[in-house]
Formats: sequence, structure tokens, C-alpha cells
Amino acid sequence: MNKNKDKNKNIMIENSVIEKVFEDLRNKNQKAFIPFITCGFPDCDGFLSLFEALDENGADIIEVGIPFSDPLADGPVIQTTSEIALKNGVNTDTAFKTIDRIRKKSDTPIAIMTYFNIIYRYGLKKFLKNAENTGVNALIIPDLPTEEFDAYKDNFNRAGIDNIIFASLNSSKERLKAVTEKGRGFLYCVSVKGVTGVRNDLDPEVVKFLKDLRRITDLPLALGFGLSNEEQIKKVRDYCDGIIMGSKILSMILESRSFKDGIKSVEAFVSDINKILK
Amino acid sequence: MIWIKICGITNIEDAEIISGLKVDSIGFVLSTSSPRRINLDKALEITEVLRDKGDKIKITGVFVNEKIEYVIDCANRLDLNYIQLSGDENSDYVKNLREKLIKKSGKPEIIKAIRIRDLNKKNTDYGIDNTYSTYNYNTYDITKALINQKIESFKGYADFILLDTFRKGVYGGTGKTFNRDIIKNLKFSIPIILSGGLDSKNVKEAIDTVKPFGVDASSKLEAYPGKKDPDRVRQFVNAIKAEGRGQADGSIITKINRKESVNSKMVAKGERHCSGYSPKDGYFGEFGGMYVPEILISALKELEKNYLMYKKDKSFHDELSYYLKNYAGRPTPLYYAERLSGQYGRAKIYLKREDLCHLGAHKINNTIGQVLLAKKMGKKFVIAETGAGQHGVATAATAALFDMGCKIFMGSKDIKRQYPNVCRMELMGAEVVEVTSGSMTLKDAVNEALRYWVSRVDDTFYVMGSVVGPHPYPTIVRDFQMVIGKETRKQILKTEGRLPDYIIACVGGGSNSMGIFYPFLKDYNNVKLIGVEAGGRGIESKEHGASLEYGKKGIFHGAFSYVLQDDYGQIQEAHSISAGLDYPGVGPEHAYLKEKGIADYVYITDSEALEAFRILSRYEGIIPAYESSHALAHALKLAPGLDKDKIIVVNLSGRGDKDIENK
Repeated sequence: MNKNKDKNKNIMIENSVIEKVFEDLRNKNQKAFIPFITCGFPDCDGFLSLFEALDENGADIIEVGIPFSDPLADGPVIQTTSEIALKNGVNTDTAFKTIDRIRKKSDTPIAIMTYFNIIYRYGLKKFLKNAENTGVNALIIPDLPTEEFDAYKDNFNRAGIDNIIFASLNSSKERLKAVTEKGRGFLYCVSVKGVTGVRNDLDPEVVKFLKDLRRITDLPLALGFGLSNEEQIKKVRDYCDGIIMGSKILSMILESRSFKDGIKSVEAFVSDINKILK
Repeated sequence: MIWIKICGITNIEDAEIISGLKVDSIGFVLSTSSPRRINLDKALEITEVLRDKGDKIKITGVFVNEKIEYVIDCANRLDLNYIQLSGDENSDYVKNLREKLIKKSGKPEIIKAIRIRDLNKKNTDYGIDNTYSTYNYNTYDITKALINQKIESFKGYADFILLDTFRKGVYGGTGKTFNRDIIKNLKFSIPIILSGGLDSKNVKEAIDTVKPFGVDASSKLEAYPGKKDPDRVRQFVNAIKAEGRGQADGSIITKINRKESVNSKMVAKGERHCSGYSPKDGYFGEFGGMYVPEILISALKELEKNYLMYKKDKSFHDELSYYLKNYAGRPTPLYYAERLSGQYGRAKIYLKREDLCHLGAHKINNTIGQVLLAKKMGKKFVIAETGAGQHGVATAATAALFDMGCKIFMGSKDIKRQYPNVCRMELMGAEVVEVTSGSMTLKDAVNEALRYWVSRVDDTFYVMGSVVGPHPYPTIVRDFQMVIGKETRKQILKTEGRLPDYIIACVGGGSNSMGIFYPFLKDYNNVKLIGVEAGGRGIESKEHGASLEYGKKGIFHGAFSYVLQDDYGQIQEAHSISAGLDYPGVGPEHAYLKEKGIADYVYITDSEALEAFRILSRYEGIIPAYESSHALAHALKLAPGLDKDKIIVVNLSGRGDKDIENK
């Protein structure tokens, strides 16, 4: 079906596909750009166009959100896009079908971001199997902390899917150590004390947080939540291995007069960001 | 199976280890003159630790020649399962005690200890007890006759006879064995518990010889006086369980079998019950957990740590009791609704009047506890979600009382239908934050409160309003609401001399029901616990709030429980005329109680609740909250089919003034 799957099988034993992305970038002193978009937003075709625009403008990994009715780690933008996507009739099956369509054209690594109830209700094994079959490389589950993840870890390992672990600004060093030991793919470093959403400033503790993490773990560090402008990115670029952006990109689509305009501004914005990262 | 009691417990560590070994009972020596003596306060503390973990191990109080009043006082305060009389109490004493117990609570079973005396080892002369010390017996037969005579004198008064070794001036815990051959193959008219110097090496042989109902051990399992040796205890229990099937014979076999079957049934259920409560902290069986973003984990762990610390802190409890009494107005009455009962058959309906708490609902019990905890933890602000507004009002009031900043998150739909409560919150200085996301009801208020908490977790305490959310909230809220059940238990025993047949409470998230159920969980074989969910416009209409009956297992608001959801895991909106029951999730402990068959769950529709609302107002002059009307409606359905002497307790969790406009 695509080369990604072959790559997947060969590399899984050592480095996962996602870890390989970071390794390649690190060798070139470049940083990963990881955009987040909600599957089914603004509609099913619009989502595919948005994915393509990001893919073509230098996204290294793309996070695809399967919408949930009660996204408690998300701010107003992703709440809105989730609501719109759900109204468009997106569900777990259509999300996998969409990813399957994408995989016919692109082998850019994909991480699904969703809440644990979506996965639990679908059936963890079935979810992981479908993820593996459609060439999904990682899962990001904000409400599945390591305490709860432990019970399901073997399923993830068998499927060869990375479960992305979160690191939080307010965690103690001991906790960060314990948490990062369980991580694969990359470490999702949360740059704010709060939920996702556009913020203009950067928490002054972020750089120290990244420096601490660098000493604690060898996992690639990807910073996310609240990143929205070049200033912020420049400040953190040298201390992390990648940045994650969701609300900013989605709000550009939400706020534009037409979808076409929205895509254009996203393309321009993403290529500017990527210049800093590459 | 042989019944096992380990006696002379003096500390929590021993109690927990022993309980973990599935022993049937632990004993506290509550009289002086033993190195294993424990004072009542310490015994209470240990019992509370065990009970708080959901541990159902039976507690025995051991007394030596005490005044009956003291024995009864201890039995009541420790909620003893067994009273063991190890002194020179005669049959009149036991009879007298038994009569008083029946009046008071009827529950503890009595174990009378009889000490068997080795009069002269060399001549193999034996006797029993000091009562007979003037005699010289030199044949087993006379001794046996005397033992039997003594046991016979307690028939009808004592439930068990414990055979121990006689040593002058020492009542129990001698560590010495007596010659068990003298009672070999004896047929007893009361089940026998064998004691006296038992350990892992001799217990098997002792069981084979005497074939007792149970065994009791104490001093031989100790590392030093007052401290058990975990290995010795484990070996002892294993030796019995490996042996296990000691069958008694003769005249009492039916009685023993009855006892055994009742006992083993209890143990079997109890075991499941216990193992569900604490295989891992924060879980009730598979339910519960901490399904929240990483950033909240530290906050929840901090909360858990502080809660466990203050839970043991006497001054915290004193302060809590002070405010519950003087501010919230506890204890609330348990009222016999005679006129209402008369209209609905012959059963007696009692109402636990939580509607008489300050602010008109049970919510204040929990907010005083949590806000006090927040204050101790050095937090400056409290936040809370609210549905009907009752929890919001209680949080706002408590925040005013303890001088804390306060924000209440409330769905805009609820703001409209419970507007008077919005005014009350604002009057008491709280800021009411309107939540316009999702269904704009309680579930979205929780989401928004959690989102806000994530951003202010350092100085802000989230006061959870029900037994929902991530661990440790379901436990904390249940503990603070448990006062309802504790009072009910005392009150019904005082007025009726026995436990009720039914306890009925409404279930939204489930805090008032969990609070009244919890102190009765161990009695679930006799006391039927019924939770009433919102049937809304009827189950067929799909517009209801019956998460336990019609929801599916899933993760919602940080916990694994039952949730109203579609096939893809999207949370569905609940519906109920009562804002407090309009919630698609339910507390994980309820999910557990349902799954284990410990409590039953039913539903009542909007119109049935409304009818009960009118009926209680009309017959008793009490206007119940719509939420509580659900519980009442089920009681009114149930009562006409019951016998005359049945007792129903309905938890009237709140008053209905807030609902009058919507009538």
C-alpha cells in the first residue's frame, strides 16, 4: 500500500518511525514541525486539503484529532473544531477511512490524538489494529496518564504504535524521570499550565523545563500547547526537537472569510515557522 | 472452613496484615491486665482505618469481668460483631448482657470463654475454670461432664464457647495449651472456638482432635508482647487453610453447618467486596482511576496525600465536627412520616431530613470538609461546578465562612432553571461563571471547571460536588457524606431497635446515596440499598439520566464508570426534570456496588417524581427537592407491597423551594 508500512516493520525493532524522523532532523540540526488538525474539520474534503497543505509545506509529523464531545484538555478553538467535526458525522470508523485515503498519497508520519473513551469504546485492540493497518504511527491520549497507561502498555508494544507521553511544567523531577522512562516516539512537553489554545507569550519557566528534561531523557522533546507566533518559537528552538501547533492553525481557518483564504494563510504561516525550525 | 480469629491486636499495621490474610475476625482486648490491652480510642482508630478502606473484617471486643454498661458502650462505638467475655462472667451476666444488646442494637454475637485447667500434670488430673478449683478430678469423664455442664449453662445466651487454658489470674493470652484429649470427641451444644497456645505447628492437630467451629490465637503469633509477627500469623493461617475442612460431628452439626454456611456466604461476598475496595488505591474493582491530563496528576496526588494526613488528624476532625454541628445544623432528624406511611400500606417510611441542613441540602457536609481541607493545604481560591446550584451554593457559603475566593461554574441552561441559586451564590460573594459549551449543563460545568483548574492548580482547590471525578475525589466526597449514614444507623437503632429493611436514595453523581449507603454496606444482606436514577421522559424516549441502568462502561470526567454514550464513545446528554440528576455519568463506587449486587438501582420518571413531590408536600408539609422526590417516588411504589413491620428509610437529600417555580 505504501512505503511507510514497510518502513514501519523494518525499523520498529530499533527506532520507531517517529523516532527516526527526529534522528534524521537532529543530524541536520533541524527541528520537527508537528501541526494538529481535527479530522472532519471544516468538513471531510476540507480536512484532506488542509492535511495536504501542511504536508507540502514541511510538516514532519501530522497530528490528527478524532473529535470527542468532552475534550477537557482543550481550549475553545479545538472544542469548536471538534463540535463542527462531530456535526459533520465524523466517528472513529470514518477517521480511519480518511487516514487510509491519506496513506495512498503520503507517508508523512501520523499521530492520532484523541481521548481515551473514544478508544476504549471502540475497543483498544481493534483501535490499535486499525491504526496499524492504516499506517498510523503514534497515539496521543491526553487523559491517559502513565498510571493508567501501564495496564495497556503491552497492547501498544504488540501493535508497534508509540504512545506519546506528556511532561508537565508542574511535575517534579522525580515524576518527570518516572514518566519519561515509559515514553516512546517523542515526549509531548506541555508549555503552559492550562489547556490548548492560542497564547502570545511564553511561560518564563519553559526554557528551564526543557533544559531539565534534556538532562533527564534521551527522548526527542516536542513542545506544544499555546504556541502561536514566531517570537515564541525562536525562544525555544534551541532547547527542543520540535514544536506542536494546533489551535493557531485551526483558528486561521475558523477566522478566514473563505476556506481557500484560510488555507493560503496557513500555508504562508507554516512556511515562516518552518524557516525558523529548519 | 474453619473460622479464624486473631486476638490481641494493638496496632494498625498488624490489623492490616491480618485482614489481608482473609481472617474472619480480629480481637481487641478492651480490659486491663493484658499486655495486649488496647484503649477504646486506639481500637476506634484502627477500626476506622479498616472500615474506610472498605474492609469488612469482623471485630471482636474482649472483656474481662467488666460492667455491662462499658461492654455495651464499646460495642456501640466500635460497632462490634462479637463480644468475647473472658472473665468469670456467669450465665446471668451473659443473659443480662444479651437482653440489653437486643434492646440497643441486637447485633453483636457473644463468645463466652471457658478456661480449662490442668490441675496436676503428673497425675493427669484435670479441671475446668477456677470455679471448680476446690475439686480434685481424676478422670476425664468427670471433667467432661463438668465442661459440658458449664457450656450448657450458657445455652441460649452465648453464641459461641471459647475454650482456653486456665492460668491463675490470667484471662486469655497465656500462650499455653491445655490437654485437648480431655475434650476429644465431646459433643457440644454450642459451637466451639478453640484457643490456648495455638500456633502453626499445633493447630492442625488441635483441629483434628477437637473439630471446633473456629480457632483463636494470640500470644504465640507475636514477635513480642503486643506486636504480631507477620510470618507467624501467615504460617498459622496457611496451616489452617491447608487443613481446612475440619468437620464437627454430633449434636451440634446442624447448628455449625448453619453457622458455617451463613458465615462462608458472608465471607465469600465480603471477600469480593474487600478485594474490590483496595487492590490498588483509587479503584473500586475496575472502576475509578485517574484519567486526567498529566498536569493534574501532581495536584491530585498532593490532594490525596493531604487528605490521608488530615483524615487521621484529630484537630481536623474536631473542627469539622464543630462546623457540621454549629454551622450546618447536624445531626439532622430521622423523621417517621406517619401520615404518609398510612396512605401507602403498612410499612413505616422514615425520612432522613438532609433538607434541614443549612442551605437546604446535604451538599454542605462535603463542602465544609473540602474547603477546610483546602484551607489547611494553604490554597487561596476554591472553584466548583454546579448543576442544580445546591453544590454551588454550599461551596459559596463555605468559602465565605473560611474567607476564600470562590468561582462557581454553571451551565447556562441550569442558570436559567435554577436562577434563585445563582442569586444566593452571588450574594455570598462567589463569582458565577456561565458555561456555554456543549449541552450547557452539569457535565459541561465540570469540563470547564477542570479546564480552569488546570491553569490555576497551584493556588486553587477544586471542590468536587459528588462522588465522581478522578481519584481521590470519589473517596473524599463519600467520606464527608458518610455522616448521613452514620447518623441514620444510630437513629434507627435508637427508635426501632434494629436496622431498616430498605434504604432508598437518589443517584445523579451519587453523593447523597453513597453517604447514606456506605455505613450499611456490611449489612447489605439484611438492609436492601436502592439507588434511584432519573428516568426522565422514560427510558424509551432516550431522554433520561439512568447511567447505571442504561449507560455503558467508559471514561468520563477522569474516572472509569458507567456513562451515557453512543457507539463511538461520544458522551450523550442526560435529561431530567431535576438539574441535580441531569448527569450522564455516575460515581465509580456505585458502578462497583451495582456490579457486585451490593446495591440495586432503579429509575423514576419525571412525572412520577413530580407526583411524589406533591404528595409529600400535601401529606407531611415537607417540600422535597425534585432530586429527592425520585427516591421518595420509589419508596411509595414499594411500600404498599410490604409487610407491616418493614422499615424504609428515604434520604430526603434536599428541600424543594428551588423547584417550586418549575412545578
